[in-house]
This record gives sequence, structure tokens and C-alpha cells, in this order.
Amino acid sequence: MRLNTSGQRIEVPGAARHTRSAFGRGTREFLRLSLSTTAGRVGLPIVVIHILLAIVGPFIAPYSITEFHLPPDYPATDRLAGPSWTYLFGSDQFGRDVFSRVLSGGGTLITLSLAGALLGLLWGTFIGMSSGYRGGRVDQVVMRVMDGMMAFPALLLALLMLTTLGARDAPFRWLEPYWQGSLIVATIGLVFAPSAARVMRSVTLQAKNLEFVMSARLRGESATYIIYREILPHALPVIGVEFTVRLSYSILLVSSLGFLGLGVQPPSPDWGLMIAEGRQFIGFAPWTTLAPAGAVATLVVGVNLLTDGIKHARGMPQEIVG
Amino acid sequence: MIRFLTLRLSLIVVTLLVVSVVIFAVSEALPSDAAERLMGQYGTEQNIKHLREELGLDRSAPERYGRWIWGAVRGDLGTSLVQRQPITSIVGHRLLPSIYLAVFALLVAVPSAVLVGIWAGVRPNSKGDRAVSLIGMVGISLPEFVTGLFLTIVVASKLGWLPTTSAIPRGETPLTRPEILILPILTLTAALFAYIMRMTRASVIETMDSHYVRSATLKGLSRRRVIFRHAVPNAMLPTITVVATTIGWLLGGLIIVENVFAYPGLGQLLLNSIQTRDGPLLQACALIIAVAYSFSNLFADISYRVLDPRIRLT
Amino acid sequence: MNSHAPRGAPLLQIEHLGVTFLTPRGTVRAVRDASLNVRRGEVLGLAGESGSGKSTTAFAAMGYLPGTTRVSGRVLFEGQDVMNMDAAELRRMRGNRIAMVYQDPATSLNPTMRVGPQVSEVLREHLNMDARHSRRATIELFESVRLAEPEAVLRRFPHELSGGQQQRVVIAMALACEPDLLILDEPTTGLDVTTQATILELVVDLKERINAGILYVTHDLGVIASVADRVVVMYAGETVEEAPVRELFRDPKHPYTTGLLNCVPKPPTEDGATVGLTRIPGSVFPASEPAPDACLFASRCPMADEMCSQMAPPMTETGVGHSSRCLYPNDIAPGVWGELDTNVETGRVQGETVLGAKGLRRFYGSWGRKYLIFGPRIRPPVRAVTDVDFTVGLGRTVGIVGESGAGKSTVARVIVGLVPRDQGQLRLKEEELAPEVDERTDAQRAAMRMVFQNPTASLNPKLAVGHAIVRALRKFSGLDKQESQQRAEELLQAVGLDPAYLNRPPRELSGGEQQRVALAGAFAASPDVIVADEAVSALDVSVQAQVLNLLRSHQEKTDTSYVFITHDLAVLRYLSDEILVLYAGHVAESGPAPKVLDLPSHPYTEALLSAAPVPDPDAQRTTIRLPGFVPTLRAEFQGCCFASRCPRKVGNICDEAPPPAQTSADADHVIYCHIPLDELAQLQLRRPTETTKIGQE
Repeated sequence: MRLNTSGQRIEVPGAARHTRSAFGRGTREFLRLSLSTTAGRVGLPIVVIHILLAIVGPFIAPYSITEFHLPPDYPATDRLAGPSWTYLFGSDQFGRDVFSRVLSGGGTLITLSLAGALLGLLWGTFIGMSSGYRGGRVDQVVMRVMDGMMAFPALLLALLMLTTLGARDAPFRWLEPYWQGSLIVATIGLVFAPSAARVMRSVTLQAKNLEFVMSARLRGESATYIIYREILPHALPVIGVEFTVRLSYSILLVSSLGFLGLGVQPPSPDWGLMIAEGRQFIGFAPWTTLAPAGAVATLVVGVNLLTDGIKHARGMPQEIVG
Repeated sequence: MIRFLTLRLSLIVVTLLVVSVVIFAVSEALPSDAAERLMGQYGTEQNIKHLREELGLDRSAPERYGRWIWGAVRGDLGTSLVQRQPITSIVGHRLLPSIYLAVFALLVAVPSAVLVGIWAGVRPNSKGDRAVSLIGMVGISLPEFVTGLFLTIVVASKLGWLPTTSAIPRGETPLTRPEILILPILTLTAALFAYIMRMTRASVIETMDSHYVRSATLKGLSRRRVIFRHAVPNAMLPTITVVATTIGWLLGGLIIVENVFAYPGLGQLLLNSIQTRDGPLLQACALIIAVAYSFSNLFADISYRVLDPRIRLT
Repeated sequence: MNSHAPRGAPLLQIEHLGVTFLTPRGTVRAVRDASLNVRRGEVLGLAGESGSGKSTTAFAAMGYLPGTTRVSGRVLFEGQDVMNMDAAELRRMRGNRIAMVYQDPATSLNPTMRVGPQVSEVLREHLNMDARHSRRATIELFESVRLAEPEAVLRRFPHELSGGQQQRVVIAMALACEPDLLILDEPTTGLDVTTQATILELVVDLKERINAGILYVTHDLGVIASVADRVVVMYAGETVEEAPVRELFRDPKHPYTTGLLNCVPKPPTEDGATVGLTRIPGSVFPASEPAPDACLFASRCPMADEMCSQMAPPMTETGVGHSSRCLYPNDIAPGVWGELDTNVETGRVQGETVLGAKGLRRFYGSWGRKYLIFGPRIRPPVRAVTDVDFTVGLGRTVGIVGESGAGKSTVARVIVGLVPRDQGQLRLKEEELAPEVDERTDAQRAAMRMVFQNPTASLNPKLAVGHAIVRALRKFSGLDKQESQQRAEELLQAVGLDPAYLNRPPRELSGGEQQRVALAGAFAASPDVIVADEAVSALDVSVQAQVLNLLRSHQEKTDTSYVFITHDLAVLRYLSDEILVLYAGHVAESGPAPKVLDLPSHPYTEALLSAAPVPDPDAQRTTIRLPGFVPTLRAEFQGCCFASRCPRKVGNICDEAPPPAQTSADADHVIYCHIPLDELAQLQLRRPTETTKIGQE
């Protein structure tokens, strides 16, 4: 609800519509918000296409991602071949099809970024809300530790965490194939938790002084009930925006880690790593870097457009500092 | 003010203590033993034990942490395991080039971003604003390694105007070879510019919507005076915090950009130390970056305090 | 002055103004059909509740309608249409010929600029003054709006001034170029009554001093009565009645105006009876809807017939300078809203004590030192509440009154346990209550419920309207889900709401409806005590009347006791049996309502009573102005906390010794003052003239 200059309440059209399930309502609200601005109308399709390609990509890829196209009679032709109908985006230094590798690389990046952003948000929400609601000394200590973590630039903290965690082997055999990915997700979660915690803490501190929270206290509700049943739903819009913002940072961070060689291990395709590897051929085979670079760029642009669109439609400030 | 400074300085001490514990814990967790690494293939049981005692590795972790921190405070960062030299001198060589890069990037990005942000913020949703917003959107979306590569492909490879890498030949400094600085600075600037510009724009739009700007307009002041005397000074306050935040981004960006352009700075050194598992060197690099970031935040806090009359006196 | 218009001709003429804002969230028809004119030398009061479009009309007079708008009609300033002016013409007019004073002075002043330059820049812009002249002129302006130490104020930042001082600066800014038209948009809303009184006096004084027309926009009929010469009433974007001020209050010609006047609680009559309040049903015609061909008030009007919903009534003249937008202006009589029940105070004896407080004290924070934990102690704690005593009898209401900073909200929170007390006892019936709500038993929590000021925030925006009621029922009454749902529906019906509201999101309810839901929640477990913290302050008068009626009838039915906290004396009088006057966290005076409101009074109560605007243009007004500010709550008082501002201060004793509790003969009326009671009564009988001080801020 917003007030205009003369203090009137502006009625929101369509506010009275109800859908049965909370999920349906959420989805409808999300679609309505994202499609009500130009930024959202451009961003949403980009993101949807990326997600679809990430899911079906490995199945529609024309070649295997590890297949070396080195026909015995033409020893060098299919290495670093330029874009053609055979190799849509050209081929890399081993003669692997860049198009197929780009198609297959999206899934890992999106999954890891999503999981990392979610984990960070979960951690941050839990820490920030509990600490903010409790207040006092505990809150002070928790926030100092968060400050300490935030004194590292995100990438540096991620590098440090990965170096530490990555030095250990998977504790269980079955975890082996997912170990590297889990480490990255855990790292992103740790890196993003402090800022999410700060945001959620300030939301909680504000909500603590709102009348409906005070009246819940007067009913004798427990702290857990108040935090999760009264304040959390109230904070959902903030959480939603925080999540989309973190998601775009998360994509940037995961691909940067890949670029620095700390992502998922070769030969599985990783856009960041593909760019790093293609770098040395940049002068005569720019497609090996341009294709994955374009993929990363469009994905992040899409997510950011969507975020901006939703924030704009909700009438939120365009930026949340901190 | 004195009360604020003592409070803020004691906070930064606490923060840096947390920071140093994290860093120490990280390098502790690196798998290999420093003494084994130093001795390399010549290490006999006896030698290694001896060296371990010499390095103090046989002491408890808290004690080693205390020694490390005490050394760091006095400017002694220990010995590199790989290069076998005092870290203080290794870092010393790498620090200056990184500072050049960071300072130049800030000098280019901050003023231009603030100006463009104000320009766009006072005409929201105009054609010019939309164009600027689009540039900003792309700018914050591109990772540094992508921007860097695009620039390299276009400016260096295709046009051949500038060198593709920025390695510094022996005996020279970045200042004697300014051409190698241009692409790294541009790359860093792209993201910084976009981020600061978007924040400035948002802040200007919000201020232009405020009641005091309304009352300035209704005083019959010229639009120029309304914008530059009433809106902009207030809009700049949040921008200070934003710039401080971007410094964190800039420091992270340095690691990537130095890697992309093979520029011999602190970021490269840090990456090398990770690859070679050089614990003490990693500790030193991380500590320096974290300290720099903490102090830039402190600086922002103080300038905010000085510039905003509302909190100056409390 | 460069007016070429003949004297008496309207300075500002608004003819059939319509303003529609096209926002991304829908169309808002803020003003539908507004016509008014302001002449030189008069004050036109523009009255209306929230959503009536009065502020938009005021801004339109300055040609200021930001965003995408559709405007119809004409706004003529000295015959020139403001809507057709170009930017340069607007700039020459604004701040120079027309100036405005805004609702919230704190946000209307640039927070990072000293106030002196903010005033002098107007002079430099319009009158081409140089720095030295404009500085001197600014000092003179500050003197003319009675700002003390004008040269010092010049160098202050807005946040270093009190609300009253800020508003004086804004008024000085508006007067800078001696404007022909002065627009005041709710200039005293949000200020304390004693501050409001001094600002209103300044406005009346201005009317005589400057030869300008004044448009005074407000929702407060008491304020209108004290400043306006003529009044225009707006409803749902339309001007519905225009009349000279006396005629409007004596003989209104529109049912809405009549209803509105009867919604304002009036002081009890001679025999102690209080007059009930009109209940205007329903809510304002929504601004999102286009106007139908009907009277927009028809759905709420007691005398509406078919004609009213078939044609939109035009403004018709009913007398000299009096017109009404009603089809039947001459049928309007005082009884149109039904007979108002008078409520004779039966003189109920103070029965059993339900809630008793003794020596309640709450200090925030502890002594701060110069360097964190070292150095000398430099920051004392905030003494929000110091030694407050009171008792609440069965079925009775204790009203707690005071201005901002008096500690009344803290008292409310200490009682319910949201803020723990540092000292003192609190007994509910026979049981001693724990300081914090978490430590109290469910039965104790059920016995004492609270209603808050802001209805929108008292319901969780993400949960259904009925959530809090159902939770309370399940917790306190031990009902199961089904039963509590059913009981909640009954409760909603009892407060006059459709039980179907139970499952709606709160945003679909109006502020008044939300507050009634909050009441239903408070009534849910049949509590012994309800603590209401400014429960009607955020509501429009018509809605406020609904809520007050509801509270009153509930008390009559169930003998619930109320602790009612308010800054509004009219509301206080209407509801309270006993009154507690707070100043700077201390009790100034307490006792049965008639005795507190009668002489002798504590000098602060006296000032408070004299400052409250009365909705009667002929009321005797003798305002006692209080100099200076409410003292900081960090101060520790040696003497009387009111001494620094007291117009009746007798000497050093007031600063040096705490005032004794003087009780009247029947021992239930206490005044904390050094002046003996009979002497105080003598002094107060002799008001007004000799004791009034020239108030300066």
C-alpha cells in the first residue's frame, strides 16, 4: 500500500483475486510482477530459455562433450575449427565441439549458483532473524563475526574456503562425484550468509517493533513461532529480492571460480574454465572464449533484468545497500 | 566524534582479529607441513625435526597464531615456503603495481560514474536514462574475465592498438609502460562504473522525490539550484557507502584481472600461493587485502559522519 | 505588492478542478470536482478527511502535480491559469507570489543545509538580494515568526530544532517575499497541542499583519474554527459545502458536514452528561472508481432517497456565501443522524480495584562513558517513566494524557510487559505481575490485552484478518480450531463487521475496519483490562467516532476496565473516569476526570487545556503559551520537571525541591506543585490576560 501526496490510499487493482494454493498464488504473483515491466518482459524469457537449455541441453547436444574430433586423415583440421554447420560455435584445442560443451555447461553453473544462493539465504535468514530477534550480547557477538567475514571481498573469501575445504577428500564414497560441486555450494553459502544475515537482521529488528509482533508477544507466543510464523511471511518480499540479487552474484562467483581453475574438474564443461582454456588461442580462435563468455553474459543479464523488473514493479528502491 | 572514533577503531580491531583467525585457520588446514615443504627432497627425519623446531611448528596452534600476528604487526610476515624469501619483501614488490591499478581504476570510475548517475537520475525514464541504465545493466552483469577478454579480442587482437598481456619487463614499472595499464584499468572500471552509476542514479531519483526537494521547487528556485544545491548533496551520502562496498569488489576484481592480463600484482601472488600451497604467503596476501578493505570501510564511515550533519553531533 | 486585481476580487479561483493520477498501480481520482476561491485578507479553511483530495487541491494551486496526471477545470491566480504557465512563469510565481507551508516540517527542510541559507536563498532568487542583505532580512523574518535567538537559529541544521521551531522556519521561508497567497497544508498535524496553539496564533496574527489570502488545509474542525473566516468542506474529491465559518458550525447544509461535526467529542454539559457520537456508516467512495451519476455520499447518508442515486447533485446556493452539494439542503436538521444519546454520568463509585500501579519506573540504557567503557560518565540514561502511580477500578477508564516525550507509551508498554519496569509494583486483582510479558501466566496475559495506535501494523499483512483473533481464542479460551473460528465470527459481528472478513488479507480493509478487528481480538478472551495506546489517533474523525462508540458500549456491557492513552483532550474527556496527566515521565496531576478538568489545575494541565482547539468559532480562547522545550529525559530533576517552562513558576524553590503531592479535600485528586491549591485556584480564576506570556521558541 502506498500513499500519494494527499495521503490517499491507492487501491491495488486485482488485489482481491484469490487462487487456491499458496504455490499457485506465488507463481501468479511472480508472473504478474515480472511481466509488468519491460525489464521483466525481456529478462524472464532469457532466464527461462537458459534454464530450459540447461535441462535439455545435454540431450540435444550434437556431439559428446568429451569426443575429440581428430580424424586420422586430417590431423589438424578439426582442432580450433571456426564456426560452421558442422561445429556451430567452432571447436576447441582438442577438437571438441564448443556448441555441445556450451549447451552442457549451463546445467552445472545454474544448479551450483542456485543451490549456493539458496544455502546462503537459508543460513543468513536463520542467523539474522534469530540473532536480531534475541538481541543483546549474543546478537553483538554474532554480528561482529559476520562483520569479520564481510571484511573479505567475496571472491577472496571463496578462494580461501575452497582452498581449505578442497584440501580434503570426500568423506563417503558415494559423495565422490558430487564432492567438488558440494564444496562450491557450501563455499558460496558461507560467503553469502553474512550479507543475507545483515539484511534479515535489520528486517527483524524493524518487525520487532511492529504492532502485530508485539501483540503476538502479548498472546504469549514463543520466539520460534513469532520468528517463523509472524515475521518470516512479512519478510518474504525482502527475501525474494535478496535471493535474486544473490543469484546473479552467485553466477558471477561460480563462473569466476571456474575461470581460476577452482570450479568443477575437467573434462566436464564449465563456462569459466572454457574461457580460461581458450584464452591462449584468443588471437586466432576467439570462438572458444566468445561462446561461453556470451552464455555467461546473457544468463547474468537475464537474471539482473528480471530482478530489476520485479523490484520496479513492487515499487522497491532499485538498490539495497549492503 | 572522539567517542565515535574510539568505538569504530575498537570495532575494526575486533573485525581484524576475526579476519586473522579465519586466515590462520585456512592456512593451517592446508595439507602439507611447512618444514617438509621447505626441506624438499633433501629432508631427512632429523633435518625436518630440526627445522620444525626452528620454525616453531612444534608449538601449539594458539601460540603459533600469536607469533604470526605479533610478527605481522611489526611488519614481519614470515618466510615463503616456495620462494624461500622473506614474505615482506616479496609482497613489497607486488603491492605497488596492484595499488597503481586499483587507484587508477577508482580515479577513472568514481567521478565518471557519479556524474553519469546524477545526469540519468534527474531525468528518469527519458531516452538518455534508458540508454545509460542499459549500459549499467550490462556492466554489472559481465564478469571481469569476460569484459577483459572482449576488450582484448577487440582492442588488442583485432585492432592491434594495445598489448594483449600486461606483464612488466624486468627493470620497469607500470608507470614507465603506461600502455599495459590501459586494458586492466578499463576492465576494472567497467564493473565499478556500472555499479556506482546505478546506485548514484537510484539515490538521486529517491532524493528528487523527497519533500525537501519538493519544497525547494516550490520556493521557485531554478532547476539547476534545486538539483545541485538540494538534491545532489543529499544523494551523495549513500554513494559514499557504495564506493566503500565497491572497493571490496575491486579487490576481488584485481585477482581476476591480474590473472587475465598476467599483470604482476598482489592478486597474482595470492593465486600462485594457492596453487603452490604456500601457506605463509597466502596468509600474508589475504591479510593485506582484508586490512585494505576494512580500512576503506572505516574511511567511508568517517566521511559519512563528517558530511552528514544529522549524525555529526550525536 | 504588485497586485493589479481590484480589492475583493478573488486572488485564487479554482473552478471545477479535476485531478487524476495515472500511476502504474492504477488510476487515482484524487480530485473530482473542486471549486473555491480565496480573497485577499481572508483565511479560507479547506476541511476534509483523508482521501478527500484537499491536499491535491492545494498543490494544484501552485501548479505542482508531479507524475502523470490528467487535469480538468481551471486554477486561476489573479486571473491567469496556473495550469497553462510555462516553467519560467511558474518559477517566478512560486515562493514569490504564492508560498506554501507543509505538513511535516522535518522532511520539508533540507537536512544537510543550515536553515539560514534555506530561507535567504528565496530572497536571493526572487528579490536579487546580496548575501549581507538577505542575511539581515532572514533574521528579521525569524523575529517576525517569533523564533528566539534568530542569529543562532540561522546557523542550525533542521534536526537541531524542535518541531515547532522547524515549522516557524518554514513559515518564515514562505513569508520571505511577502506572498499574495499563503497556502498552509496541515501545518500543525504532528505537532503537540501546546506547539500547535502557538502556531495557530501566529497564523491568526499573520492574517492581520500581511495583506494576503490564506488557504488553510486541515482535517481538524477545531483548528478550522479557530483560524478560518470561510470554510470549504471536501468529500471524495468534491467540494460539498462552502460557508462562512460561523454559519457552517451553526447551520450546516450538507449531511456529511453535520455528521462530521457530531463525530467530534464535545466537553460534558453542566450536569456532567456526555453527548454520544454520530456513527457515519460505510467508508469513503473509492478513488479508483469513476464517479457514477449519483451523489457520492448517498451510500452513507441517512436521508438519501432514489433521487440521490440517480443524479449527481450540483453545488446550489442556500444563502449568502453558503452553498451545498446536496439535493435537499433545507431538510438538514441537527437530528438528521438520529437522536444522539446523552450519557449521564451516574457517579458510579470506585469499585473494586482491578489494576494497581505503584512507583512504576523505567529508565532506558545506563550511564555511557566518554571512551566506551573508560573515562568519565557523560551520558545519563533516558528517564522515560519516573514513579508513576495509579489504580483502575472495575468497569472504569483511566485516561493518560501528555504530549510527545511524556512517557505515556512507555507506561502502556510497562503495564502489559512489553517493556520491563525497573522499579515499582503492578498488581492485577490480587496477583503481582512479573515485569516481562514472557514471565506472566497465560491467565494473566488473557486478562490484560492491548490495542495499538497504528491499525495497519497491528494486523500481520501476510496473514488472514482472523489469524490473531483465532490464535488468542485458542490460547486463552482453550477452544479448538472449529470453535474458535465460530467464536471469531461472532466477535467480528459484535464489532460491526462482516464475518466473511475473517479470511481476507488485511490490506482489503480500511483503517477503521482494521482497528475494529484489533478491538475484536482484544475483546476475544473477555479480558479484565484493555490498554489502548493512542488507539484512535490515526483515524479520521468519523471512523474515530465508530471506534469510541464501540469501546464505550463494550465497557457498559462487560464492565471491562480501560487504560486509555491519548494526546487528544476531546477524546480523553469523552472516555475517561479518571485522568493522569504526564509530563516528562512524571505525574503532574491525577484524579477523577471532572476534578482534573476543573480548577485548580496543575499549571501544565492548565496550559494543555487552554491549548486544545475547540470546534466552536465563538469559543473563548485564552492560550497559555509555554516557552522553551520539553526537557531532555536524560536530565535528572532536582526540582519540578515543569519548572523550566512553567508560566506560574514561583521562584527558586521550583528548581530546587521536588514538588509536594497536594491532595484536595476528598483525597483522590493529586497535584504536584509548590503553589498551595487555594492560591492556585485563585490565580487560575483570574486568567487570561495578565498571566499569559509571549511564547517564543
